[in-house]
Amino acid sequence: MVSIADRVAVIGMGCTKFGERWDQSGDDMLIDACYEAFEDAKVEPEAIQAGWVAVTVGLQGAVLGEPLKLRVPITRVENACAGGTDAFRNGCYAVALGVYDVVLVAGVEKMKDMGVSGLAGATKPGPSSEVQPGLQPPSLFAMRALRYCHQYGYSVEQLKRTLANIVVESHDSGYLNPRAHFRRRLTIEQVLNAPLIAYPLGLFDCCAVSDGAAAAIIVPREMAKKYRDDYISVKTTNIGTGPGATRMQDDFIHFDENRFTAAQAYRDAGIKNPREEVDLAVVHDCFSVNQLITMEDLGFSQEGKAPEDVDSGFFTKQGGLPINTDGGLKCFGHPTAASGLRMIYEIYKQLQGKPELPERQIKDAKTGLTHNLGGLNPGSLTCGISVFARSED
Amino acid sequence: MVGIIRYGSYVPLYRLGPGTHGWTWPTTRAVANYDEDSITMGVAAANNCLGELDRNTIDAVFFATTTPPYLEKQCASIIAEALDLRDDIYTLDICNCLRSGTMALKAAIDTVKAGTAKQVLVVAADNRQVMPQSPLEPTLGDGAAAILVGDGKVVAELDSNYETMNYEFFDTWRVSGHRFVNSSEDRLRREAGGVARAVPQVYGNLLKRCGLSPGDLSRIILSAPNQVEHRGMMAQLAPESDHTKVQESLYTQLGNTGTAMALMMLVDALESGNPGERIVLLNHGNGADAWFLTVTKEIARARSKQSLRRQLERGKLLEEYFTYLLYRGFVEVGGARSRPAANEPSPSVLWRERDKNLRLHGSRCRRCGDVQLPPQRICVECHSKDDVETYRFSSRKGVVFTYSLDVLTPNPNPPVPFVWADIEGGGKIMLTMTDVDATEVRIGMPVEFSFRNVSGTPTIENYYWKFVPCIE
Repeated sequence: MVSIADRVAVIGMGCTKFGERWDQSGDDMLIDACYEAFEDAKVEPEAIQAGWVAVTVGLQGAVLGEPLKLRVPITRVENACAGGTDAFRNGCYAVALGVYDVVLVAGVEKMKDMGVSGLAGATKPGPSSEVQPGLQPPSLFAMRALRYCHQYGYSVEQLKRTLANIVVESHDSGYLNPRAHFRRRLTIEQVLNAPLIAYPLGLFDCCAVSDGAAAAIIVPREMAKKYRDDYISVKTTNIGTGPGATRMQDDFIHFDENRFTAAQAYRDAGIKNPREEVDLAVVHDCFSVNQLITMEDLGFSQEGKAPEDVDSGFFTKQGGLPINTDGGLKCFGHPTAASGLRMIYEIYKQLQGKPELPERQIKDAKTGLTHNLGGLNPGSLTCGISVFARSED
Repeated sequence: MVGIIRYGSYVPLYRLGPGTHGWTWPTTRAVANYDEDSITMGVAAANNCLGELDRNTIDAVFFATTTPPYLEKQCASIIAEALDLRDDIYTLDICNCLRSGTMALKAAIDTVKAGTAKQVLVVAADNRQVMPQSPLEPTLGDGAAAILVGDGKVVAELDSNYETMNYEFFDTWRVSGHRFVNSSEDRLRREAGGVARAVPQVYGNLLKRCGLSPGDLSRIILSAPNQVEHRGMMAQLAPESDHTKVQESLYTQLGNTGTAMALMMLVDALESGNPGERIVLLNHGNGADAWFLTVTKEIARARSKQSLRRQLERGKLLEEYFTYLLYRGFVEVGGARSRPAANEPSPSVLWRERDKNLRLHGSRCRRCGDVQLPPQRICVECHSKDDVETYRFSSRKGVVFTYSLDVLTPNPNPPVPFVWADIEGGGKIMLTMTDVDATEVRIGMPVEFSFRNVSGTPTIENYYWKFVPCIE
């Protein structure tokens, strides 16, 4: 296997406002996100040579081709909540190989047409025996939280406080982000007193269920300067998964899927000490506890030590490794297949020095990482990790 | 000598009784949980009865009930699947009569004597459907019993020491299509009902046939509709002057469990029985049955792991009568948030998955020994293909590894505990947990498997396994 480091560049991106967009269809949001990307890249739609689109509820590449009236090869990618990263990865590999010179990648999800509060379903689509209710995503991660406490000797109260620190920081970032679904600052007490959704996780430990779309335009890196000086170079973009069938060694705290994928990503990107070398990261905070565990799985914190790092402020915008500076899934929102690309959007803007509100700018951001995690069954989740760097020339 | 090889009972966990808000009666009754029915209770009693007995040695299942979940689909075959019995056995549903439990017993004895089966499992269960707030309500209860009938090392000899009488009298009945049990006037029943007229007749005939006098008996067991009729008939058949022991009736703690009652009282008697005891079992319902049995010296060998008394003791009072109405489906309630409607199960998927869903089979890789529940074709450790042995997990115990208490999943008793447990001998599986207060669930808690009704839509009765706390 070869690394695609510095073979692909991102020259334009778009991202809609995420939220309860009752008046917008998936088509509408794709048009908005893609046309923002076209304007950002100063590229005409006719220049696009191929497309990859991620959506979990949809059919064919026509999901992208029909609203944008494109006549190019388009593949629909599905990999649950990591679909956005996987669509990006597929597009990047085609560009790195030299098959296409201008590729459009997009992700969209219209969560709020399901007609339900919260997530609609937690089972694989299709006929089933229905003998057991599907495990709701909050429960999947709540189990990790309880096991974390058991393994590392935290009380549930202590852990909830650390998780509340994560949530409060995300809400502060969401407040500073006009595109975010939730833009309200919270206090620790509000988070701790929220109604339970899946013990021990409360309402504010769970990310927003939102509509949204995001898009990127990618080209071979040697052509990037034709489009702009401040292009962003792709160091690595990859996904990893697992066999699913439960291994007795699974500690139910960390995800092997994260660890395999991170090891490969760091190898391809030439990163030896992620805690020092990564300047900011946007990770999959579907639930506050997952952000905590991801810090350890990505090597940002030692095992069992992430709560100390959280509580000391290391992961805040003022700290050594800011996390989810755009509000994360928690506040920006989580339209399933769009999220991977929205994460890249934040890194893209930060590395260019152009977040919408300058108060969110992370100083000296040179290397950014996105972490995206999707699926229903622990052990067979899809983990997508991408690393980006500022253009050097 | 043909008789009883093994025996067991099942009493559901919950109770309505003094202390339940909205319960105005002085007595207590056992009531099934929202996920229990005659089939699930029958399976529980049968598992208590069979213990570690090799399931392949059972040649027939006779299921007695007046509350079958299906009217046109056999229930005994579902029980046979859940117990992981062979598929070439004779399964029979014996329905419609409160006497069906002892009728099934006769059929079992006759089958073994005829030589067409070596061991027959009799299961009797009822989930009584009684109109809320009616005078009958405090007298009825839910429960099940299971008796394994065979030849050889029996714990009680029955042979064909049996008398019966049909008697067309409306004591308790229910017309097809109607939900609730009807009952005739108390005073008419006490004068002319099955207990009053048919029981003494079969009792007299049985004593004559067996050459016994009342003084020869160690115990009389009578299943009657309620405490009053029980006391009245016992005063007649076993006056104070005789030393015959009257088997304690359980109406004020358990309630009348219908088809299961006579066999549950028999199990209770056997659980304290001594070798040499001579027992008469009397059952009523559209007439009466009488059985004479002798306890053998094998009696202590086959005691079930969960005695009926222990199960009665561990009962938990429901806090609210309303909860019972909800669990029984007398009221419909909506959830706090709008949720998607339940899906219809796919018949082809149910068929393909019946071994893992009903028999609770798991697999062990023959090459490396890795155990998986549910079974897997490709081994996750050594990648062998189709090289596994599959076997039943339902008697194994587990330990809670982690869990969650889920508020979003629609359920009559939220939050729903989703539990991952490590199973003894290998394997790890996630199931929901029932018969437990959510606040009691702990990492490290011992659990066991329980067969439950998990139907989400009205067109099919769907069954699967859940965890319950281990009963000490």
